[in-house]
This record gives sequence, structure tokens and C-alpha cells, in this order.
Amino acid sequence: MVEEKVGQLIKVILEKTKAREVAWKKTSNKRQFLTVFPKYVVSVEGPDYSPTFRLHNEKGETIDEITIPSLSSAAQEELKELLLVARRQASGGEEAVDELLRTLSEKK
Amino acid sequence: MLDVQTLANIASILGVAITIGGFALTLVRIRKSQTAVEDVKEQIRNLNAIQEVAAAIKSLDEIRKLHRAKSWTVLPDRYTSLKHQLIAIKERTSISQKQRSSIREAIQQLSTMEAQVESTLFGGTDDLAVDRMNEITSGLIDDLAAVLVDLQNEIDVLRH
Repeated sequence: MVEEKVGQLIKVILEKTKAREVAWKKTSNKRQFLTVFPKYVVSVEGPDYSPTFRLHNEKGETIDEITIPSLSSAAQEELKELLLVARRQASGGEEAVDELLRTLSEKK
Repeated sequence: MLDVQTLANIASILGVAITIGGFALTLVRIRKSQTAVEDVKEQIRNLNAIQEVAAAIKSLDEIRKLHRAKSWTVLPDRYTSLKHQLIAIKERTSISQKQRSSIREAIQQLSTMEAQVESTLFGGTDDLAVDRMNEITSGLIDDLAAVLVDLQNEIDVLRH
């Protein structure tokens, strides 16, 4: 039941990330990325083939941790995609691609 | 010519009007004084917050130096202490949602660093990258410096 709800949460965060309504940040751990919400912080950590999704409280403590095997196959794919999108956004790669595309389309 | 009774009535009505006016004036004065007291309280809260945020920035700067010196054994306590400072700032101060978000991120980033250092100290496999750790720490210093400027601006607004 909890896993099902977390699966829904992953889906929503993925959609919001794609819509750039959620901003991901790098951490000192090169495989981990985080985003801040009112009251809670969400982090995703690689490896790419088996990411971990964590919920943290305002004190920085982990209050829930979900790994790939406990999720449905659809949620597993969404979590893997979330890690990729979060990494791209946090590292500024997505912004760089957009900027380059804009620059190249202007030159046509 | 007005008779005595009419004059008495007029005097009575004027008396009531003056009393009500005086009462209203007193209320306005009380309200102004309450607002002034609240403004002063808010300024004091912001001044305290400024001191606490400045202290947190100083602690982050020290942590950055400890990263460079690779003083891993002393770092977990520093992270914990700074997290407590930041939690106190967040709980006690009337700060904006944006400022709160910066502090929440700082707390989480420190928790991540703490977990990494602890894991390494106790034989885990995490390889600690000083450059990355200090990139994050510098980012947190910048964010808290922005909070400091916001708090200072709020005091300036209250003063004028």
C-alpha cells in the first residue's frame, strides 16, 4: 500500500520535473540528487539500474526509503527515468542542451 | 431662545460625542503603539536571525577548511552541530518560505555529507571527493548569504 502511494508520488514528481516545476540539486554524493518541498525533502540515488527513492524530514532524517524491487514495473521505470532527469537537471545538462538548440535554431 | 432643558440635552449629546471621540483617539493611539511594539519585536527577531545565520555561514566556512584538511574524524560533529543551529533558526525565526527552503536544503546537504563521512570512517566504500563537497558547501554559503541580505532588507523596510 505504501509502495503504491510512493509509486504515485514518483510519477507526479517525474511529471513536475519534466515540466520544470521541480528543481533538483547536486549533493556531495555524486550519485545522489535532492529536491526541496515545504516540510519534506526528496532524494534519488543511483546506480541507474537500481535507484533508491528517499523521503526526509525537516531535520534531515530519512523517514522512508523505497528501492526498485518493492515497486511495480511501471513505477520502477519511472524511478529510473526520474534519476536520469534529476541528474541532467541538477548538472545543468538539460539547460545546456536547450540553450544550444535555441542558439542553433536562431542561426538557421 | 433655547430653554434650559434643550441646552442640557445639547450639552449631554456633546459630552457623549467628545467621550466617543476621545475613546476612538485612544484606540488609534493604542493600535499605533501596538504596531510599533510589533515592529520592534520583528526587528529584534530579524537581528537575532542575522547573527545566527552569520554564525552558520562561519561554521560552513570552517567545514570547508576541514574538508580541505581531510579532518574526517572531527567533521561529523561539526555537521550535527550546524544542523542543530539551522533547525533552531528555522523554528524560531519568522522567515519566508524561500528562506526556509534554503535552510531545509542546507540541513539535507549536511546530512548527506555526514552519512558519507561516517560511512567512510566505518569502512564503507564511499570515496570522499573534497572538490565536490566544497562545491556544495560553497553553494550553501551563497544561499545563506542571500538569506542574510533578505533579512537585512526586511529590517531596513521596518525602520523606514
